[in-house]
Amino acid sequence: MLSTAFNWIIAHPTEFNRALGQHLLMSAVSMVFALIISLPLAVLIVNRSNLAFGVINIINALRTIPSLAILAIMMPLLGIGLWPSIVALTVLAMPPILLNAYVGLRDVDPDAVEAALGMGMNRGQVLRKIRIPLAAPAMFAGARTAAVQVLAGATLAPFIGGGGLGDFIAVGISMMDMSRLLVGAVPIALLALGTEFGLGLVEKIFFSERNTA
Amino acid sequence: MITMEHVTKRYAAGGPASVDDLSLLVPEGTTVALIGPSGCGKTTTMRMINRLIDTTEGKIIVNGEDVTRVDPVELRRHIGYVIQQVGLFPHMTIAQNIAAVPKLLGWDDKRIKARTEEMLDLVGLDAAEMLKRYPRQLSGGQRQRIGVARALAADPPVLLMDEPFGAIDPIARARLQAEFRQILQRVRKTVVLVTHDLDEAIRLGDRIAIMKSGKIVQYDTPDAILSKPADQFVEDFVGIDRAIKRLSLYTVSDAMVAGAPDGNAASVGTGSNLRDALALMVAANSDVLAVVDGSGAATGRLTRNAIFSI
Repeated sequence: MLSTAFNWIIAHPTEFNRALGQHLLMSAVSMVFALIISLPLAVLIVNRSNLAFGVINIINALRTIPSLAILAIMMPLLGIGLWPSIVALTVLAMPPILLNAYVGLRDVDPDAVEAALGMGMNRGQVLRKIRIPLAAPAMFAGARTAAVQVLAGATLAPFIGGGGLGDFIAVGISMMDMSRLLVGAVPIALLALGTEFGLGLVEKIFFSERNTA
Repeated sequence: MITMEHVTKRYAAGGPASVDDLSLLVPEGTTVALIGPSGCGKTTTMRMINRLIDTTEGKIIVNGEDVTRVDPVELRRHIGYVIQQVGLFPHMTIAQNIAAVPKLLGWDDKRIKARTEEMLDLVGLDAAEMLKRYPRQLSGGQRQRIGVARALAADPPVLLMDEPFGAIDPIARARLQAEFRQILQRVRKTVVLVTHDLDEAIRLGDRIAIMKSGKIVQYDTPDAILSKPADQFVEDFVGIDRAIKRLSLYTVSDAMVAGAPDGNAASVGTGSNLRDALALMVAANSDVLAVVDGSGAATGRLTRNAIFSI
């Protein structure tokens, strides 16, 4: 069955590549949007506990909505196609990025912040030179979680006409064709696992020198 | 020089004063230890000097400038600051940590590098070995030395220290305190040190300010504080062993007389303090000790009466 799926990919490279391209584009664009929105938002709320309380609760509420429901909610608002999928995936990616960045920024060693202020850094410098670099591993971990969620979540995009590898799964289900389903499912699983592993490796290389005792 | 004039701090308007109409003069190049029970306002007093806390009333003048008239960020770059937990930046190397303030002040790289190595040398650490390491790779004592090096890097005339040796084990602490005292003698800074450890205040302070409920109850030399407590509070605070503590302020050379003692007496070095010398006498059950120099030759004697009359 797996070989049937593989043969299908060999026989239909254009279709497969287009779906893969859509999948990656959709995921990448929504990750960029989610990062652009969430990271500054985390910086903005980290010193304003009242605001943080509201934002975190809204984000947590968003988190409880299943991905499919988010896609379904987007349809009447934005119609069908690639953009509604991107918006939905952005919403899906924001909670892990924002929460990790917020907690990371908030829990930076208070002594380092006290020392930085005491030696004459202004608020902006404390943020740029101390808080953000120290929170970077947490921010990265959040982005990594989000990337995996988005790659997997993009599978549902065909339901609102977003395309991507999920198309093959949708077709496979409707035609009861298991091998067609695998044409979508296996690459998605590989992408998600590869991203998790790859970014994990990057994280290790990038942030390891401070962690060695 | 630091001058505080009638300084009051209330955290809540109309609330109780944490620091109450306090006046203090710290002469140029001297170290003042602020000491007192928790909640006496000693940390608040110190933090008002670099404006981490703003005063409610009164005036603080550091090196001729009223601190409320200058930009607090600029002010802090010219006041060294050391805290108990050191607060080294874990993501920066030791070199980058020490260079933090010079960098803020816009020094060029060559000058920063030279200064960083000079500072490591000053605190007794090997520059070649330390510069590239991260704070996590250092012991508590090494970290505290880096904290001092970092605070002195931009050569600030004033240094504020909040329980700087509090988190270090007692043996390393005593050694660090002695080293720090020597460093201070070389660099001549005006230092305000907050501590709850009377021994630390005695070792490091040229003067000690004992605080209670936001006021200074006695401001004097360690000798005077220990020999003439101003009131019952100070007397209780310095403890029943104040007379013995006071002996640690003097060395054997302050009380010895010429002429080696007769017979077999235990010996003590010229540089030891009288508290240790007395301990030796008690241990040897003797009224007299032979004083020896570095080579072990007897240069004089120290009697119990001489210690008691100092």
